[in-house]
Amino acid sequence: MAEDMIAAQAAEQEADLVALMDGRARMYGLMARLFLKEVDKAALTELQGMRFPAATGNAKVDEGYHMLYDYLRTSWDDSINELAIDYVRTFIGHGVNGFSAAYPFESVYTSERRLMMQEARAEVLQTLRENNLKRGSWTEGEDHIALELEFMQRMAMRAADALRAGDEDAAIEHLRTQRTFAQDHLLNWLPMMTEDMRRFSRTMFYQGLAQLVMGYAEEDAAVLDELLDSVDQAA
Amino acid sequence: MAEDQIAGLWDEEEEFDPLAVDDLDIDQEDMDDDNPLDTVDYPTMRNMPEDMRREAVYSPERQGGAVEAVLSLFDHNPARRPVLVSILGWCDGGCLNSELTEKVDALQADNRSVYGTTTLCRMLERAGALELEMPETSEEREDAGEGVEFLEIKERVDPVWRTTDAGREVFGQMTDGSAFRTMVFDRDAKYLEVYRAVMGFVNERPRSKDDIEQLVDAFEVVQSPRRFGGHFIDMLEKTDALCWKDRSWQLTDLGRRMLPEVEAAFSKKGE
Repeated sequence: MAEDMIAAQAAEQEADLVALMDGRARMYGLMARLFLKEVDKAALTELQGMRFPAATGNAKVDEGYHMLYDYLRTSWDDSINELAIDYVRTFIGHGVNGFSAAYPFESVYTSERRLMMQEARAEVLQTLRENNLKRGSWTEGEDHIALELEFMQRMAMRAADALRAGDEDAAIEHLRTQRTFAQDHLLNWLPMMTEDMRRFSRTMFYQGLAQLVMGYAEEDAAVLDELLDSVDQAA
Repeated sequence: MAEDQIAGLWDEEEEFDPLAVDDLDIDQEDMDDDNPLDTVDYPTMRNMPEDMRREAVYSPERQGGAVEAVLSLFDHNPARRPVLVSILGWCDGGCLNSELTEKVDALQADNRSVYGTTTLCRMLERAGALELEMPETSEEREDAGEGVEFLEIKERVDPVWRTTDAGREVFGQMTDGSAFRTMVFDRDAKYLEVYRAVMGFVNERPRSKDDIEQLVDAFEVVQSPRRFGGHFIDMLEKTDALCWKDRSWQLTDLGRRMLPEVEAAFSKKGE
């Protein structure tokens, strides 16, 4: 009887973990899409159909969700133009000095002269190769924020698949890869880039996205730490 | 200009050399704390105006009145004029953006444009022909069990576009056939019989350009100075009597309304 209960509890915990990994993958996927290109009609409709948690416990995530919600509830066709303009203003800018936008490339924030295609790009590319991820139609530096977020999404999906298959070791390995990547890359430059996003963007949408991605990355790093610490302690 | 005059205009010591600006040598002491652009730490950004938006090209302020601005907008966008005029008609009394989009898309199906409904409406709004009415929205919250609260958008915003008095006035001018009459009965009065033939021909059924060219070529009056079918298509299209639809030229409602007047004028001319 007791064994049955323990087994049931373990199964429930595993199901929770799978749901957690799926949720993380969805969240990273959503954020990657929003950074990858401008919001189009289909994306806007999908965003307006979403439900945003009102209180997650993380102040930045909550503020981000509220700002996105406030923008989206008054959005209509014209907002697609407005967001496209703000996307260019925020991520491309109009200057050539390296200080005119929130450049979405890690190299810009981690190289002395704020240049693209620097060491960070080489490291990210190496990580992608180590994890059997190949460049698809992407033609720019692999240290773009959208690609880094998508990497986290892919790893979360792999972790979920491994858990479903009952391969805990593989799942833990994927989580370790994510933690290392988040520490070495995402969290290394995201605070600076999101600060720039708030400086350059004029819509609540990109202001909110800056808060959301920063808060979520921090929160997720804490979750990964907690999970992996419990694994280490158990071992 | 004498050299001594040049010397007075040109101070060599103050010569501006854009290449001399060193991006890496920024003097923080020079920065203006009150200028938010100084936070980007770059000298050329400081003098950039905060608002980089350009002034509207067609606006009541610039053209000296809303009617003038709208007419000027139409004049400089001849290819979009039919759809812009139609928008003014549809929005008289108010039209939901979603409904307007369907109508504009249908109208532009045979005359495609990179301009979507909102872009066209914004052009008319800046010129003073349309007004946008945004509905009020309220924050929707939903409890989804276990105390978790969600923010959810239950109703999508669908604003209303409404034609202004100036827009209504221009719409009246554009649809009363005055431009057509000026062209057919005045400027091109010499070709009245050709216009009559072309309009009657197209009224029977939609025609191709070649059909119209052949018809026009049979008239003596177009031989010298030479006029081709394209001229008559062009003039009738410009005055909203003819339109391109389903891969052929067709008479518009206005064209059908004008046809009896053309027939009457032709009969009168024959007497």
